[in-house]
Amino acid sequence: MTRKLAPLLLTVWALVPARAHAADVDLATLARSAPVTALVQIDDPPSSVADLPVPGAPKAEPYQRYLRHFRLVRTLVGTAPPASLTVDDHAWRRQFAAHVACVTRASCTPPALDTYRGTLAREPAPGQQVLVFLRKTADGWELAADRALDDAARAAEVLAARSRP
Amino acid sequence: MMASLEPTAWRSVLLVLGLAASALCGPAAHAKTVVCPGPVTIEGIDISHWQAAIDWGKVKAAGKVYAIIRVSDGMYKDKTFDFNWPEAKKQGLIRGVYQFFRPGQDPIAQADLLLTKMGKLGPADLAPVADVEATDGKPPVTVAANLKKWIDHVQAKTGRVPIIYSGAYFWEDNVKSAAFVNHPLWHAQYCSNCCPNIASPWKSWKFWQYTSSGKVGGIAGNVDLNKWNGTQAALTLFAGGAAPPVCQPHCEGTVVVDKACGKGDCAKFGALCTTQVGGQPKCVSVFCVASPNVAPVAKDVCLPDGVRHACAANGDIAKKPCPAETVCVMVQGAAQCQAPPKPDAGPTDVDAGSAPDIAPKLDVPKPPDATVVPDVPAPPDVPGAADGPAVPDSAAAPDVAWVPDVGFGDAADADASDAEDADDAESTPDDVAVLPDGRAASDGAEVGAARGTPVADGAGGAGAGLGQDVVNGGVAASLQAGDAADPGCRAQPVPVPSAGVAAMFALAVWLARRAWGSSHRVRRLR
Repeated sequence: MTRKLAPLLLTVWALVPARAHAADVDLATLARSAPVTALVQIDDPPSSVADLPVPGAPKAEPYQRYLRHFRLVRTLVGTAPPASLTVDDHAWRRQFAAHVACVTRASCTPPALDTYRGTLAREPAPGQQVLVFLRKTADGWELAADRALDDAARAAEVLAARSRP
Repeated sequence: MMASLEPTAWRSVLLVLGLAASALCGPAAHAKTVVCPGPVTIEGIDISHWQAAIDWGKVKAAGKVYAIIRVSDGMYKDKTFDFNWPEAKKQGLIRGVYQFFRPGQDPIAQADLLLTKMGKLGPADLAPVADVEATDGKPPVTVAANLKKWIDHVQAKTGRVPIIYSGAYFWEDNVKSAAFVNHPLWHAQYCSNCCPNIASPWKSWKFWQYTSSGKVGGIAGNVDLNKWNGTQAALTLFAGGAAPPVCQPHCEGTVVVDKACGKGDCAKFGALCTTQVGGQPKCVSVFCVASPNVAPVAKDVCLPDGVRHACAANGDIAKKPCPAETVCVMVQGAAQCQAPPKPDAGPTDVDAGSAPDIAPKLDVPKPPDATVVPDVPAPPDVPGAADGPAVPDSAAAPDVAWVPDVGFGDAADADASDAEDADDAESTPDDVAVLPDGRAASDGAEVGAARGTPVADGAGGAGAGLGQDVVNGGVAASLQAGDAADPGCRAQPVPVPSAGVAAMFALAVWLARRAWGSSHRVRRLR
């Protein structure tokens, strides 16, 4: 019986995409883990998108590489980034790889990303000042977690979190 | 006179003139309009990938009625849209889609992205929204031109008038266009105890996003909260693609018109439309009021079917049958229960002018098959009504009180065009008479007319002709031939001939016509 069911179960297991678990991080955790925290102003335009073709599948839906544009106001933590700052999404290369797997192999498992639960309910508008949590990569700068932006008024909380042992 | 004014008085005059001038000639470029919410608003949310995973069941349970979901930021697709869009519908929320409009990107490509992701709109889907709050460094003329392209394209593809989301300061500084004033406005302004200060030239708003730090069950973190300026019914209509009509409830003849402009014809239920009860339009039985302009009074009445009914002061009518072995008789305008008249009485020569009791003439036609018809129930969507047929000719059931169990005529949904000749008489119910045009009818009013009683013509005739006398003719006399009619009780409604009598009469006429081969027709009542 088990022998008969095994192939079926394996097939089902293979076909059903696994649900990746995304970890939620709070301000204190992110403030301590992000190498750089900066107060920035949203540029205008605040973002741009670069369509990246899927290697080997030129007709497949391209990956949209989302780039945020900021102007540095003040660096709260870490090494100062450039005054005019372009930032990728968090773990964008993993997201790109997941997109390629989805469109080429129909294996559409979203990557597990650390997701920040901040206070922003929507995309900040141009001119608005926000806190951004960054890390440096080979490609430049990217968010230290998914949606790693928050209200500028929380700067003191960031510094307090960093000062705690 | 002028020279005699004191210097301080001159200063006062100049001050007043200056204030008046500034009021009249003040800066118009930022002349915003303050439009407070109406007495009823409906709560909803707008969401994007910033809300991450949403438990839509909890959102619904939290009392949110609608959700407007971001499809993209320009050409950048919102990663959560494909989940949120169907889930909102599954929970029965009214849903809408918005696109963060990018003036620096191709407007048609943005619109096509929205249209593709959104799919076909359903009846509970709001028109698409252009979220106008970024310039991408473009001047106002470019922002407005590209927005117009987007709107024209979306409107052409969906047949719906797109909604515009914006704030007053952004619009007036960065769009500066009055070309979109006919589009519903979704106004953004974060304040809790204020009235929206909307962008010129709009004079009203449909939605108001009043906070970006709302808390709603099923959503971790903050979420934008919105108010719909109106009732949920109006929102539902709006989501259906049409602006909700607004009407002042009133009567149009016998037709009730409610605040949503829904219509229902009281005449179909043998009633008048009157505003004499509480100032609101209401169907009231013609047996309870003589005219739409007269307030109903509490009284008992005999209906043509011989059953006593009680009219209430609010226009309601209910059966109040006489005790056994008695029949309802109208005596000097009042219903009384008396012993039934003797059956051997001769034919009654009813004098139209001498019959004081009103058996109102109704334009209620016969039941479709002239079979036994139950009491006329109230329409289903009318307050106070239990169940019954929908009011015809109405997109929305009128929001009016109704007279339950009108109890006469019993021909609520009959179709006047269903004219039948006497051949059909064998299937007619007890209270069927032959109408002037030869068709059978079961409504008491026309039967009353056949008996020569004064006829109130209000129901079918838009309230006109009340009290009109109708002179009966030979057919009516024939119908009454076998009826018991006490000469001393002319005010008493004559019992309606039985189906057997009517059938025999009809059969006799038909046989006579066939036998004689003539074109004799049933004499018509006048």
